[in-house]
Amino acid sequence: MKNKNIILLIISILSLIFMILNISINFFYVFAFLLISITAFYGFSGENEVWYHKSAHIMVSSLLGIFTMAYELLGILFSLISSELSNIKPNIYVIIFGIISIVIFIEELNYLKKIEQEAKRKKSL
Amino acid sequence: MNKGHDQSQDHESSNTNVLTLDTGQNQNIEISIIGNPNVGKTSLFNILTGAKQYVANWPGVTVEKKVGTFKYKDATFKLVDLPGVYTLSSKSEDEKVAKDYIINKNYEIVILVADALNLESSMFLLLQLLEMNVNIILAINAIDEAKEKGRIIVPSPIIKTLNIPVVLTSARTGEGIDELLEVIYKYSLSKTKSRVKTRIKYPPNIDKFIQSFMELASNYPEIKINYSNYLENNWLPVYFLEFGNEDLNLPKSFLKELETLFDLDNLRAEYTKWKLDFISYLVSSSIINEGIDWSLRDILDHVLTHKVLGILIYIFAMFAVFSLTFNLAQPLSDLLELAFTSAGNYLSKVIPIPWLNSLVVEGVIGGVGGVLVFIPQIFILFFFLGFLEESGYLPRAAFLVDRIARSFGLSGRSFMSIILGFGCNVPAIISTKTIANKKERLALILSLPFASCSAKLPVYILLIGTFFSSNAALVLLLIYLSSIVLVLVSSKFLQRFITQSEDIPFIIELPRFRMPTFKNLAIYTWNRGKHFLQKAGGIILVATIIIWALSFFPNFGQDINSSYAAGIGKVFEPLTKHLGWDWRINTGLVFGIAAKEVVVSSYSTLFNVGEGSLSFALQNVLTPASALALIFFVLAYVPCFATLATIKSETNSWKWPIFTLFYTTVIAYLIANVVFFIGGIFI
Amino acid sequence: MIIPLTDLFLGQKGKIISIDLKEEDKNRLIAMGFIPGKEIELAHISPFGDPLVFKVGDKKIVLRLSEAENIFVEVEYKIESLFESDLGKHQIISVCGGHHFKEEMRNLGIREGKIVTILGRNGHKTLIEVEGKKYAIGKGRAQKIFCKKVAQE
Repeated sequence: MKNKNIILLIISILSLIFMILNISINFFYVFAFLLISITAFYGFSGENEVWYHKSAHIMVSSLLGIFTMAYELLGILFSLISSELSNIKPNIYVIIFGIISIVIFIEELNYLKKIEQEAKRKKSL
Repeated sequence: MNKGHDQSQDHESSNTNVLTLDTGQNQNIEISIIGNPNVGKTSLFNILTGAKQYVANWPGVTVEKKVGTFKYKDATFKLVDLPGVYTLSSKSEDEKVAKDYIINKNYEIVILVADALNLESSMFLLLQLLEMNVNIILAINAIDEAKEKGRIIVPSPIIKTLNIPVVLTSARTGEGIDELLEVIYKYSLSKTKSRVKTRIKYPPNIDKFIQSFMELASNYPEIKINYSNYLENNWLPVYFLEFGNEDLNLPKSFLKELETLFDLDNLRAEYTKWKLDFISYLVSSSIINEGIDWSLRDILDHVLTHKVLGILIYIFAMFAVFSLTFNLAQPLSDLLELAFTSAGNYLSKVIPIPWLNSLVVEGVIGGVGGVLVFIPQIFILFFFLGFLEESGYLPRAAFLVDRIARSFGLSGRSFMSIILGFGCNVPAIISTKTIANKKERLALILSLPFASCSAKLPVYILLIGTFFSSNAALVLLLIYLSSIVLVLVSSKFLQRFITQSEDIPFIIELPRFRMPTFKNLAIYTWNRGKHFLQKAGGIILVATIIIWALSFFPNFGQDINSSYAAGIGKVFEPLTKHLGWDWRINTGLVFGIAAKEVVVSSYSTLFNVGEGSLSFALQNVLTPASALALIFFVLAYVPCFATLATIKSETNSWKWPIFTLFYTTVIAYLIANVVFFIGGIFI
Repeated sequence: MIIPLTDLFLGQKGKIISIDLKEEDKNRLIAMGFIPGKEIELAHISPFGDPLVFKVGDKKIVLRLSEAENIFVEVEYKIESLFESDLGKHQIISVCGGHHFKEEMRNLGIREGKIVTILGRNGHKTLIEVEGKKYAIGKGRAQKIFCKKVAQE
């Protein structure tokens, strides 16, 4: 992805909103979204460190989003096993965020692979 | 000249070998696997033997050698998995295990597993083994990962220069395994004399040194006797050059004589330089590099080791693991509980004899069942801890917290043992073998019982569920944090009194990240959980029956207040009365020394209630503050018999388990009082 | 220039020259890939400043300061903070700190790649010249600005 600042902005704003929406629901998700937001936010500063600085923050924050969704899905799966169907209230925010995270993570991975291929091509020339 | 001499010697000594191999092809042929930490030795071991040995993505997991067998064609092989080492000196426990094994030569072949991405560092071990005249097959593993990174391995320079078979393998994709089996088969059955031995060609100065050393040593009979294993193939002089005299302890007069003949420091430098040049020549001619320096590891590490985010992600990971354990397992535990309650109800109607009825329903089903309902929690906890370990995250965690751990005299590496200790103290104490620093190790062994093991979890879950259900995850987190603090403070405290001092550098490797396979996680979970099940089967059954008997006799369950069990509890009551614990609470704690799981089951026996109504019974007896004090007492007090036995075997002395017995009890009592006092203010 | 590993700047690379540790520790490090002549990079610093992660070849190894300070590498230049540097011309390598601090320094003309001249010291203040203008920079700030010495023409 070319415009990393926009992606970082989307992640940090979206996770902040979801954090607020989760305050009355689940403390763990508040912490998770706060962490994702901070991770994305740190991506803005310190670009002079390494070339992959922004990519790294995008990838880790989206990975955290994916793990948070995995957490939620595992919860649903285990309630299904114990057939407490009436108790299933999927946290829609976590799942929406998780799906967005997967898309962002895959896009970013492909972008990095493309860079690698280009560098390889340049090297062989 | 030298070569011819060597071969004739081989011929003589191998006659018997040839015989046993020709006639006894069905006998076990012993071979072993060695390699640097984290190169996939154990994965290869599992593929070859089909054994369920857990593979960790953490250096130094195989501490003791593990053995398996496999068949290929008409031959049966006994395969020994050695600990991961970089060199074969005697510096740490795991190196010693590997070195002793290699020196004793009760095996046919050694398979050296090298990492395709780090070929260089495996070469040191390879050269050392060749210097010891060991029959080696080199397996270059993880070639799938090397290919991904655009690296091509060409083994022919190694094969030609060193005269050893080389196989390219991947434990992950199974590539090259058939070839490896074929090479093992052919190599082990080929007659010893037909194997061409490798002679390493040293620079002339080194050769001269080796010769003079051996000539000189032949004048010293004590060297011949004490170092007979080292003398074969001139290994002693080479080992002396590389590692000095520290773990050899050669006679002083011999050393003096040697020093007059040679400038040892110069020679040492020359030897090291020769080795480095030789290795870099070998490696550079065997690798074709096509990729660029880009790796997912660096990108993830950039954030995972960040000064703020790194620590926050560490807390996130731990929080997630414990929160998942608590939330996911609850519905499963409820189901199990239901099953045990209905089984108890059914049996109580069926069995007519009153004492047997009581034994089965209250003793066995109430006791063992009460523990088994916590199996989901324990297995799920291990599953997620396994995920952290297997993905390669734990060494990062060690790196992050090393500085904190050091202010308690520990290293970041000790954190792994502490985290293992949350599962079970027994493997945690065994895992301290990889800690090279003796002082740190002893202090950690004695402090590890404070690491809150999974067996204590049922007690916490019972008490938290009864008294603090609205803040369950928070209280559980608090317990585990206090547990870490206790281990750290205790080891700092104990190190003041341990006089052994040794300074060994803390050097660990950050492995590549891997997505853990479900199979590997399942093996990990099963192996750890099995411990719990085995205890539930044996010790717990016996202990619950004893408890049942103590509460049932001498008056056949008519009045529990005058039973033997009550007597034990009442003796301690004066000490615990101000904490709000009556004799029944104390009695449960006493029996918990057998195994912590027993605490819960003994409460259901002592309060004479089923699993379901134990909460109500406890609410009548304890206040929240005294329940919290009880939780912290259970956290810290005497470890189970299995742990005490492990402490005995690891320290080779009865002194330390007995010390642990008193030390933990005193500390636990102090903490319980403090918690009760503080809890009384806030709750 | 030969400096201990601890003086490497984050991301800076050097060539291993010597390992001044006990024989067996040295051998262990060599076996792990710390081979004299090889390139080594300071990859990560722990949140508490110690230990450090070094990258040698494809390996990432954690070392404490106590060991790292006895391993020497050859580097083209040493990176120091403005506060520690000698007088003379220096090139700014990195400005660490918050967004606000960086912005402020940028307005003064202190940013990566710029040449500054250290004119002298006045107590804890460092007197510098950038783009023809002179400033006195306090200790705390000077320690956040890293530069390398530029050869005098």
